[in-house]
Amino acid sequence: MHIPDGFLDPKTTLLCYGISAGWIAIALKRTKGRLGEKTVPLMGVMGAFIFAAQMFNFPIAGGTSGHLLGGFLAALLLGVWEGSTVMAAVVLIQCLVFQDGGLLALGANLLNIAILGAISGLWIVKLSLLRNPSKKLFLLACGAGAWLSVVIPAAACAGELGLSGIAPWKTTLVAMTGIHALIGVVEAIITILIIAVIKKIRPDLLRMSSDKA
Amino acid sequence: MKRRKSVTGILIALAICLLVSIFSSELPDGLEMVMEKLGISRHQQKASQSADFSPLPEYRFPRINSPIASTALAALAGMAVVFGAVVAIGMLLRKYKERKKERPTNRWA
Repeated sequence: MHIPDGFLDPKTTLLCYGISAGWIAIALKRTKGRLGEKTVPLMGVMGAFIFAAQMFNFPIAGGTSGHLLGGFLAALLLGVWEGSTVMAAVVLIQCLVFQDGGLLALGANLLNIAILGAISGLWIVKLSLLRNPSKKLFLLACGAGAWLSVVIPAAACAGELGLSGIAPWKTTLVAMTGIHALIGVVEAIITILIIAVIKKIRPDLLRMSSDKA
Repeated sequence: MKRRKSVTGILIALAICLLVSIFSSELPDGLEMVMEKLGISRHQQKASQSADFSPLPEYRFPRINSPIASTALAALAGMAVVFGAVVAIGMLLRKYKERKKERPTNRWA
């Protein structure tokens, strides 16, 4: 859902750049000096994996494809601030090196994919952890979080197009959330599988994030 | 042990690249589909405007004829660049703390 250039008006462009720059500044400040020795390589691996996963488009209903966003997974394993920093690096490189998403639209893409993608699903898992969930419930919460982490950025994307006055926001919102509700299901399934595997072979990675939660 | 882990990691990365380049769908993604449906796709600006900035446009490695090899190489390059960039940011963020820690000791020494 990387927005190309030519769709956002100056007002929306500036607004999105402002929010994203502010968020990333806070994220860098919050992570500064708090990264463990083992967190840095983990962040690198996460970033590389998410980059590759976002290249992998799977066909979904009606001649449309979707790809994993991974923001929820990054936030769960690394924490919200670290996760959105990794996601921001991915989106930035996609834009600068691979021309995926416009340069002017970069602020909006950072806001949608890196920031909203990282924050919009994690609260469900945090809520579930308060109740000391069973493994099933925890994975279910992860699935719900992953689903939200696709649908909310899609809604934001529609909002930005609407704010730019390029398309009626209601139609855009319905269309964007509709198709991404499907893509989100795939994101949820893949995320649950990944987390289940991690829980089995590297449970320490998950414990780290629940300590922070 | 550590070396074995790195080798495993690189092998997994190579496998992912091949998987992506062979199986990735070429269909328009959710946003592109919606834009086409709304009839606003024509607003998209030609990417050539910022061509100087993008060494690997459309996730293709230039001058390689096989689409699979070209995409696999782009995926590999992208993974390496992202890994390098994120680790560099992480190391800078870690370093900053150490410098900050030193400051008070210098002042009172």
